[in-house]
Amino acid sequence: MLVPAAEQAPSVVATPPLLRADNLTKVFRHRGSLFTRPTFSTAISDVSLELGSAETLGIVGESGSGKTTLGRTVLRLLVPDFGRLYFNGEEITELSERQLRPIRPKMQPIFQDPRTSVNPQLRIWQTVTEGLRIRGNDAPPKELQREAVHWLEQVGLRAEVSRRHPRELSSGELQRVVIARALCVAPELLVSDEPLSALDVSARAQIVNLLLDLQERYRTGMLFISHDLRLVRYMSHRILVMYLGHVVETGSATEVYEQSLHPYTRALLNAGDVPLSSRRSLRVVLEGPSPDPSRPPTGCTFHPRCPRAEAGRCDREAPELLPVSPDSTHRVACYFPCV
Amino acid sequence: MTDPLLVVEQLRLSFPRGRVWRPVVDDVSFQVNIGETVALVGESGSGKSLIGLSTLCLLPPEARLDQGRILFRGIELFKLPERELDRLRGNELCLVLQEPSQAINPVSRVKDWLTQPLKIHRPTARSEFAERVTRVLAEVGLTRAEKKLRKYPHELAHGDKKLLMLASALLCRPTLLVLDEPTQGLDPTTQLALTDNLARLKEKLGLSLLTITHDLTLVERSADVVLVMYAGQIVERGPRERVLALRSHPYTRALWDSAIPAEISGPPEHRRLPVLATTSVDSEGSGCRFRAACWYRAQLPPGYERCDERNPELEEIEAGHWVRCYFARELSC
Repeated sequence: MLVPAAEQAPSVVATPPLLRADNLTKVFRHRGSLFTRPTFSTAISDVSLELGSAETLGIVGESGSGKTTLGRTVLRLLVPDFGRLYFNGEEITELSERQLRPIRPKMQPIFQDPRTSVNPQLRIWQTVTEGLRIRGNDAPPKELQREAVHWLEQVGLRAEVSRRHPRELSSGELQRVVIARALCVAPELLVSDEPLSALDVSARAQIVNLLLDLQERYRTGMLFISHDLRLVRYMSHRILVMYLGHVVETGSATEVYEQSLHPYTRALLNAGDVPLSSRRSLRVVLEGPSPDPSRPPTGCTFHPRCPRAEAGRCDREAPELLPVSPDSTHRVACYFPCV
Repeated sequence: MTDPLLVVEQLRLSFPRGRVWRPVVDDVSFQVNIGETVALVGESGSGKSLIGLSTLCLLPPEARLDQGRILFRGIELFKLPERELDRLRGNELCLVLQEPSQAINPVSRVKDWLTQPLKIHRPTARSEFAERVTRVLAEVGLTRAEKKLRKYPHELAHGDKKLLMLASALLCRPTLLVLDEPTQGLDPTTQLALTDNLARLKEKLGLSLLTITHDLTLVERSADVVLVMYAGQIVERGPRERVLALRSHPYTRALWDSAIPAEISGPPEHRRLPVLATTSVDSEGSGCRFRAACWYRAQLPPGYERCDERNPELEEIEAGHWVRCYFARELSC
């Protein structure tokens, strides 16, 4: 099933995309007990993507669809089992930790729970400038503190916050601190994994605006992973829909949300209360549970839950991710798309 | 007229702050009728989770009950001895907390934790026991339940743990279920399934729900009555359709406006959300608590001092629809 990464012809475009992933695959091994065999589950399978600077790629899918694994692999917190990964045109698939060191600051994560992302014993200014210190910036504390205050103000926090400890801040404030820390090292890529789900409605609106402002100002590329379909639509230029580790549909936000072709995308949007434009309001409701990732169904992995699946075709061979029309960016992996 | 199952009357709870007691829940009254879903909406710090805890008499030790009472089936809960309360909790009156880590015992297998309420309240034969557990797990829509029950909490996904917490609460067939942020952290399909399952259970068991949430989609999908809280007080209360249609309190309107819109156009760089001003809330001062952040008051010409002088009372602007604002009628037009 796994196709080795195809040898790509050298890119003719003058500037390579900020991030490129070709056929990424990551398999997890679950150690069994003493008497059982280990099982394997493919968290992401054959995922290719490209992201430019000042662009946001939204990733949606149910829990267990591989969104988070994709984010972690792209950050090279995980090593892909197959496929290649390029950052600014440089291949980083198999770089060692040491070789990655100069690249790490350029790709920064923002995770769901800010409380688990910061050291509770450090003062806020120390947290914000952690990245600088790790890079060997041995400026005197006074100067680092000034640097921290600058970034805290950029994310809309008052200067006096810098002397406090994480426990003295609310989740919303702390998530801003995490964003300030990420920005401090001037990243080119932000990978945000559910960055807003711990926050209130009003704090959420502020962070959304903040991320949009920052992207406009610093031309940061962003990988935006979330359950919240409306939010992803709001933030993203392009969208990747994942199901059980596979990309089932991708395209511009408008194409995926308003002209969605894959039955899974439609079902997901229905569930997420995103109205489809009236012309295409075919309602798809998911049947049955999401399958066990360690025993994925044959053929198209979505076929057991798909209202459009046909026996003999969908359960035999997995459909390829193909462009809707010859040079369209809208691509879908389905034999019977909802046209 | 339907019977009230739970009645909260003029509840006022305070926490010590330095030497003074600061009210965190102030003058909160509402009721939950049999078979009804009441949604309590507000941001963190508005006191909504505390109300959830007080419906089970589970106040934090430092909290002080200043006034008010809570009646469950006509019984005053704060006056019940602890033994009687234990008989109610987890049995007829269940609370599902927001965070699985707050609720699930990390060192026992999920199955042992899950079945505790049944062991305590309904000691039953083994066969019936297993049957009940299976039925409840199917009701909440947990898949591959057999396998998951043998695991420890840290081996399970967040969504599964949320469903298990709900299952545990449903085991003894409660009459009132208090849910604190039931959809938080769940993916959209699980959220929809959860809403559908709850609606079905409500129908089947005549269950009443008090849902504490800031998920406005959940409110739109499931609530019969909506209570909007700000700074410890209810600022708007009424039937869902009316509250959502009119949004008569400036805070209610701001809250809904700052949610992500369903339909949008243009590229992301041209989008920005309206932001709700978050100023420190003055709950001791005498004026309206929302006045500093109120967009409506900001538009008014000078000369409207009422907002600064006295906190408005809840006022009925139409049948069953109460709003705490001097300008509720103007805002409803």
